[in-house]
Amino acid sequence: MSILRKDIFDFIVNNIFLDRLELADEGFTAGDFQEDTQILNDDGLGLDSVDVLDLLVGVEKKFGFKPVEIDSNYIEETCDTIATVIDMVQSRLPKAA
Amino acid sequence: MQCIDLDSHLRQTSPFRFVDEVSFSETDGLIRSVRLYMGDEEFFVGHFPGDPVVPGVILVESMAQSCRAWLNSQLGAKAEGFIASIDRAKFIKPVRPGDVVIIESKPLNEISELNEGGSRFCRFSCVSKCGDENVAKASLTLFQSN
Repeated sequence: MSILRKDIFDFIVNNIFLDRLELADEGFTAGDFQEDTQILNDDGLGLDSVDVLDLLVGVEKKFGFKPVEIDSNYIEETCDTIATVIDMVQSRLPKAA
Repeated sequence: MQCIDLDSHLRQTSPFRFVDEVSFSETDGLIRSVRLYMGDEEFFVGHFPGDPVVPGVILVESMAQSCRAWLNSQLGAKAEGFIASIDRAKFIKPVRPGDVVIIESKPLNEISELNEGGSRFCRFSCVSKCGDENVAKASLTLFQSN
């Protein structure tokens, strides 16, 4: 895992999942998450649409992205797993000159 | 300034409509709405006896209706939907009978055509004012189902 990818992963897990979505209160710890952890599926985290909204908005604010329209297609495409969220973040980060 | 026909674009009716006028300015991209609290609204009876104050939840509902009226005017339909989230709501000064509240709301993301993308979230940043003073603020997300 590249350093930048790990930074994004750590932010998602610690700041969003464990803190803002309060999954720590449900007994989760950082070690419970991997890049292939499913977000929407009930076999994974089973987050609801408002929790996913929190995730996407949190990522937007952290990385300075312009707000985009979040519809059901966008959620399904970007929030399948933690890896797909990281992929989305990396695709929206400014490219090095 | 584009004035929005509330009967055509807002599902809420009396006694649960909390905006009197809604308009949108292309110049500054803000939705502006007006609400005069007459003092004869039912909620004043219990909130509070002898000390009428507009409940914070009503101020937030007013913000949501302002945004919903604009959103539906953009979509060209009285679309169904509901409040998905309320973030960082602040109630700064009490609003009382006779107060005129101006709500300024800023859409935070683009809105695509009604028949694209299925259901969606639409986000807004809202400030309510009486005169020059802020009385409430909140970030709202409306969910719209197609």
